[in-house]
Amino acid sequence: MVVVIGGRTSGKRTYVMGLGYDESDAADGVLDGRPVLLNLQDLVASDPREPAELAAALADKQVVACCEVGNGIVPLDPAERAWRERVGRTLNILADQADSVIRMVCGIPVVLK
Amino acid sequence: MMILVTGGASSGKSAFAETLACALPGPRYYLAAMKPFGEEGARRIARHRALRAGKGFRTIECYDGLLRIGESIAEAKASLPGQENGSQSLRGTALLESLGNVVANELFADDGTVVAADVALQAVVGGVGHVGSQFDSLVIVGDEVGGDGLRYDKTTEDYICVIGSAACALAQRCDVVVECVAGQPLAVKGASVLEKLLPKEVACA
Repeated sequence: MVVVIGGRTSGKRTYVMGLGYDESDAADGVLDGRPVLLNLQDLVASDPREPAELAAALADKQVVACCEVGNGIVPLDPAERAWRERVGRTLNILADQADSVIRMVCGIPVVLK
Repeated sequence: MMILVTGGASSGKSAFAETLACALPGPRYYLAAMKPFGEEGARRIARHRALRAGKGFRTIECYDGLLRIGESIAEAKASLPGQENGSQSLRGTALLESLGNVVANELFADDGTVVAADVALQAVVGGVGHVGSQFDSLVIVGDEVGGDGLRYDKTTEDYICVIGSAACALAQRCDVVVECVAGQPLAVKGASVLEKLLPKEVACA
């Protein structure tokens, strides 16, 4: 698995498509049989499973892309806090298991792993 | 040469961009994109201007849009002592601060209306390219604002996305892209070029 992270509009989708996928290969924030998941943070918002369980459900994905969501003020709303934490924890598990972890900076892929 | 220096708030990107500009050939220009809002803004700008004057930067204000500063650049160049106007040796290095301000200037019109995001994006990328063509080197200070996971009103979302898209488009055209983290410059593009400019300061991502 390749995990791609980055801020908003940092070039994640463009990078993933450059790996040889097209839009029809990519699920956007939903869990289905397609090989690519974009916007993991949206899936986490709609799927109540705990990080370990959700990561296990995503284990067969070839690519998982996610927005970095943890670089701001801690949200006042408990539900938003919980979401932010579950995004981070899920990402950590996936990145730990991934063959490669890429962080996009201004459209440039930086290899973290 | 075009160099993009990005990073989060107070990550040391402005200081590093200044160091870089000082390592590049003079004369040096500081392109100030921040609109002076109120007395506090004016004071801050006066302080920065004094600091940079000591380092030999000439300030050119460009908060009315980058496509309209050609005349100001020509004036600043003509004001250089003992040099022939228009000669190649006058091209020098410019430091543009910052991309977030440039985007704000193009996106938010003076009459309070908001310009369409794609129009603003084109104006930003075209404007920065236009400015870059007038100097030997242009150092652009970027802004990382899209990593907090929050959703905002449409205007703020547009602002965040235009900054991100402009950074991606400009990074493609830049020879060097640096991300500053806790004051440490990480070269994400053009590490070998940067190494030649600042041999001891740069870690490679």
